[in-house]
Amino acid sequence: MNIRKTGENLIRSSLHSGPILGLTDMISRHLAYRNDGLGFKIWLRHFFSIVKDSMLKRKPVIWTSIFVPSELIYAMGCVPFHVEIFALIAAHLNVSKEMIHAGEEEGYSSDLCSCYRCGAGLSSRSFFPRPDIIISSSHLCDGSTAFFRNMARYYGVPHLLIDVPYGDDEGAKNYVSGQIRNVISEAEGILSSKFSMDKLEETLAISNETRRYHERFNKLREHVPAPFSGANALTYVSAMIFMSMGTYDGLSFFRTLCREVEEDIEDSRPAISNEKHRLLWLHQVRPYYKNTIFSDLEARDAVIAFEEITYIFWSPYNLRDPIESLAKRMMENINLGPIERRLDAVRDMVKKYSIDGIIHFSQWGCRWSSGGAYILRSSFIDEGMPFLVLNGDCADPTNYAEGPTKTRIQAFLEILESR
Amino acid sequence: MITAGVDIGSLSAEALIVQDGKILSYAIGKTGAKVKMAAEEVINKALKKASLTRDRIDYITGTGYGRVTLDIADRTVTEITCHATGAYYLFPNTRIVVDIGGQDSKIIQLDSRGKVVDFVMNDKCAAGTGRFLEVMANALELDIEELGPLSLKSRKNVPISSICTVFAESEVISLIAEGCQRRDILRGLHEAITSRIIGMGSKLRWDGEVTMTGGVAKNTGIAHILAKKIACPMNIPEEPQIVGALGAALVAQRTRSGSHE
Repeated sequence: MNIRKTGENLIRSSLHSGPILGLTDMISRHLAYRNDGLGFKIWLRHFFSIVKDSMLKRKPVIWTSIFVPSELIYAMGCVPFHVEIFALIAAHLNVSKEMIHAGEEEGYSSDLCSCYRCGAGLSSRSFFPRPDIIISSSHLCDGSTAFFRNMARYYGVPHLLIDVPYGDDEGAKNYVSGQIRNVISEAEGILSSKFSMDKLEETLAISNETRRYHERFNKLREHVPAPFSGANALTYVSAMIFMSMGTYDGLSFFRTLCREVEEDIEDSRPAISNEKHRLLWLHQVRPYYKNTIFSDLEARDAVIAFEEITYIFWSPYNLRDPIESLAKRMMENINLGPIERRLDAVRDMVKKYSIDGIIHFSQWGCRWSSGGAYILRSSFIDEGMPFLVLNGDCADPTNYAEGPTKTRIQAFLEILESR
Repeated sequence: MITAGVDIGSLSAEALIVQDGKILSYAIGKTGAKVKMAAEEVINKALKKASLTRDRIDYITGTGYGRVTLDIADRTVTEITCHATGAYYLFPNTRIVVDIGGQDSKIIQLDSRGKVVDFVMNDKCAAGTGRFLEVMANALELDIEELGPLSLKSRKNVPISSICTVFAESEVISLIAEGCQRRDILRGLHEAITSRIIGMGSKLRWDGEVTMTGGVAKNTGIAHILAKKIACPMNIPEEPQIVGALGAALVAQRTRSGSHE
């Protein structure tokens, strides 16, 4: 089965129809029979359960941004629908170019992150489930607030915003906690359903247990040679971090990944066969459409040993203080607040994962990331660490030029090789 | 040991032959639509000049944007490493290389051993490169070789506000219509190009000597303005267009002899 072709067919059909849901099962089964581990299959199962639950409206659907902890949505008994993740799936299925064009036809500027332009296109073509509520946060992604507000207007549903400030003092924590309480209270009214604090505590407990395995998974990845490919971590592992925290799928996923990576280390099955250079990938995303970046790296014996997106920045939830804990989780993000916070975290990753070089993927339209790249770059270059700023786009293939990208990657690896 | 470097750029192709670290010969041609043929032509010309046959070449390194399609090369290396290697060979105090080619510009930072430490390249847009100058020469009805000398005669800078090739061309046509002197318009264009280069390279550390390479280094107007704007001594090789091929031939020597690059 040609997965890209299937994707095109899938996306051009109505996702609400029964046959299409059957097709998603078929894709799921097909992919699960590939030479990927059980962890990969769990990700697929979780992804398709979200597709089905949201398309068939088995539960209320909450559109949300990736920076809102999914635990909050699951505790509400709703299904979280992450526009950004579905836009990136569209890129992987080779249909994002068309959907981005459709989004721009809706009036979205090409300066807006391609995830949201693609999301707008998918929405305008009725590929997305209608939301019951939209919940987003203000931190990091300034474009998302306006996008979600507009989407709320488009669907005629409420948009609940959690404003997360730059600072992280006690006042700021109370401010965010108060907003989470307001969101819960508003959602109770909209959904006519009582929010259960017991359910929230249970969800956070599952998330804490998941975090423990996630931590173990990250620890295992310190192994040289790298036992797990960063190219994969940037796809389904990162998606699970956003989509599955607080669910048994998430717990099972990270537990399984740990077991699989342990086996790979034991059986000497590294991510690439002749590892010479260990790289760190900065930023939340990578290009998901067809590109040669990762095969070019591998061809020159370079592996993405770790990536910023899988770094655990948040403390375990305090179950006696669940709302404050959720607020803290949002505020602990290494990309929020002074750049020194991110710099220290990146230094920690460099040390733990024996990194030889850093690639900073600067996503088009992503201000927080591109804005900090200069300081990171100059700091690491001064410390003698090769650092490549790779400007690009995670979803829009028209912003990708293969020749110049190859030259940048190759020249960067030549720097590493000459050391 | 005899090695060769073949640099296939977007506009021009160069081949250079080196024997034991000394340049034997070189040739420059146009890339055109057929990359492999362009490579064959320049390497054959360079061989002929050196009175050599192909079987005497021990190793060939390919570079430039067309390197990936070169089947005559034993190895390919980026133009970034090659320009750095070539510039360092010619001027050992080089710490920054400014390479402006047909469709891209690069600024490369070297350490005292000639190793590349960092680099920046133009992104997505070919403004300020050889292709840009070709379009402007066409709009001004001048040959590309005339641009530098004519701009040096300018007494007045006519600022060009746009660096986009299409918009800058329209602006140039408007300025001609307003009666501006071509030499002054050229100076304005050269000012805009050098500002862009310096802005792009501001991320790097400009200390030590700067060496300008690539076809645009032949434009004396740009070289003159760039030298004035940077606070470092600037070198321009006798033939700046062959520096990439020279670097490639030197990399071939090192690879063949097994020395660490």
